[in-house]
Amino acid sequence: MKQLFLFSLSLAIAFCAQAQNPVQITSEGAVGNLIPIAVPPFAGDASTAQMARDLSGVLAYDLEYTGLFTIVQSNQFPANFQGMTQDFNAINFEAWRATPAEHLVYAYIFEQGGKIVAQCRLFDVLVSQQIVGQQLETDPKAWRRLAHKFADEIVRFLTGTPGAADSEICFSAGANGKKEIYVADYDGGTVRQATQHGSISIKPKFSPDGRKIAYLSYKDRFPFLYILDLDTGVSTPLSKRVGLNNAPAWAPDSKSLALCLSKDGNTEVYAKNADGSGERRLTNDKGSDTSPSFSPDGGQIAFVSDRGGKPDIWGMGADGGNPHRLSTQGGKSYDPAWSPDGNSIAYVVERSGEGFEIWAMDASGGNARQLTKSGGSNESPSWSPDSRNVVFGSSRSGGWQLYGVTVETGVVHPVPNMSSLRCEGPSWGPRRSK
Amino acid sequence: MRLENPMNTGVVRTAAMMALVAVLLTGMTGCKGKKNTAIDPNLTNGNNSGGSETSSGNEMPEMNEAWLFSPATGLQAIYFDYDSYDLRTDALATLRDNADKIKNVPNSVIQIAGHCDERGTQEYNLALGEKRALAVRSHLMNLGVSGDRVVTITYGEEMPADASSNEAAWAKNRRCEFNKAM
Repeated sequence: MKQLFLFSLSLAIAFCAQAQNPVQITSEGAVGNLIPIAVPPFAGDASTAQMARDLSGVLAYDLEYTGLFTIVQSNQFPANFQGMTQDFNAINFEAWRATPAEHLVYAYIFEQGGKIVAQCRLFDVLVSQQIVGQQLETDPKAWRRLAHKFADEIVRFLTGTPGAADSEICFSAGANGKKEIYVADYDGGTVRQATQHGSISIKPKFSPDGRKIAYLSYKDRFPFLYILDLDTGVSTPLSKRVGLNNAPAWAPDSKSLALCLSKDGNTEVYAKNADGSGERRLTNDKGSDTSPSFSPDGGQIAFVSDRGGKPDIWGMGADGGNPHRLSTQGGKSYDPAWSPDGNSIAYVVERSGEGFEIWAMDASGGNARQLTKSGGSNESPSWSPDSRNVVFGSSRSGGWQLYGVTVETGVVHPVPNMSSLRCEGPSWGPRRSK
Repeated sequence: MRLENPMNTGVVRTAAMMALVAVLLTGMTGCKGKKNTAIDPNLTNGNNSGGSETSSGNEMPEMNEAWLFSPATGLQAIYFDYDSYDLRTDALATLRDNADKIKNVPNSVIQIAGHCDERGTQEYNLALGEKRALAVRSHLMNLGVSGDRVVTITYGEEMPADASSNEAAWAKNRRCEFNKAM
């Protein structure tokens, strides 16, 4: 009897230990109907057992982050549950039906031919059946992608639209006067430094094809724009005009960009090709125009202009025609980001007596709604590839960190795994293709 | 006899400057700062032929670049209100002094660096820092400084003087600094 008690206790400790990516939710919004799903620890062979347990934590985070699921906690698992095995006939669905779980995820992880292989399964608890099965493999360095990819497949199966967990963010991090560009999984995993300039390098923007990053750097002493090729690691100049070269924004084809230059007196929006050729001016106004963002069809540009007396979000054709004001909620508006589905624009609003908060509005300008209410500064919104979440930089905890907000619910997650870095100015890349 | 450069600024304030004036008026040399302060021999009725500052025995600082960019004696930073590039009254006074000093070191090229506090987005603050620097450059030109002697750069919110997040730090960070152009 005593032995059994000890065993249960150690099992409980094991379950607690596997939750190594606890989802910390600071709810700034309401949570609606969520799908309850259980993600018990994955198993592996001798060399992959730890990785398997870590992957179940990564996948649970991925699912919760979508805003579609609630993760059934291990203390709600069936009383006699002793972990999953490869014998799926042994799953006691009746016991699982007594828990809140409607779905159950399991994967077996092993090494084969230098690759990490995951046999992933999604079970429907209510009908006692496996409903998705997928074998995935990856380079060992990219092991976390196994969880991201299966999470995306689960979302695709249950909603008809794939998730966006297998995607990356780029951002700047470092101390004042010395910031570099970094790339990480969207959840902050597998952080890697992308520049080594020893200067101020900030505001990276992922190209829509995920192959390049445009950014601003003082590496040649002045604020110039560069494009980093992620395949070669080589940075080439995009714009080195006199004055300020600022706010690059990729066109959807990843071949041209909008950018902001002050060479003609005040800051105006220009467009040019990614190779640096073909510069043309898009705005002509006494006001200051900055922070462009393309619509996903490439036909429109949202940007910040103070031509109306204060900074507001304006829209115009991609050729600069028909400028019209979009933000009407009052206060000052900055940093527009057009959603990949084309429906919404996320932006930053500063209202008197409040901090800088993330808002979203319809792309046509109406239906403005506030997404964050933290006070302090929340800046640089960038959409997930599935247009469900927005990542942003925030000073809410004192130093600068990255957070995500689920647009529909207003639930805010800190981007985990990066607490040692002072991060800001995130940009969310596309779903990874390979 | 009239000195074209240092004397017609009208605002020569320090005893050191008075001493320099005296030296130049008496045709003495020994100051590197005099290089381009040509004395126009055709003008003899200058209104700056002050006779009182004749104490040529005083120690006189060299008005060179080391002096111009020294934190103690040189060009002083100016400060702005939040989200503004208007030049405040205190900034205008500092800029008058700065313009005089710049004109006393004629070959030096000055970089005006515009800075912001951390509030506001990085992109917006880069543009705001640029506007602050350009506003200062324009005002210095109005005060008689040649435009080709002042260049600008913006650092937005990237180089705070005080990295704290409070009103006192923000007030110190909304500034333009004057450095030697590289």
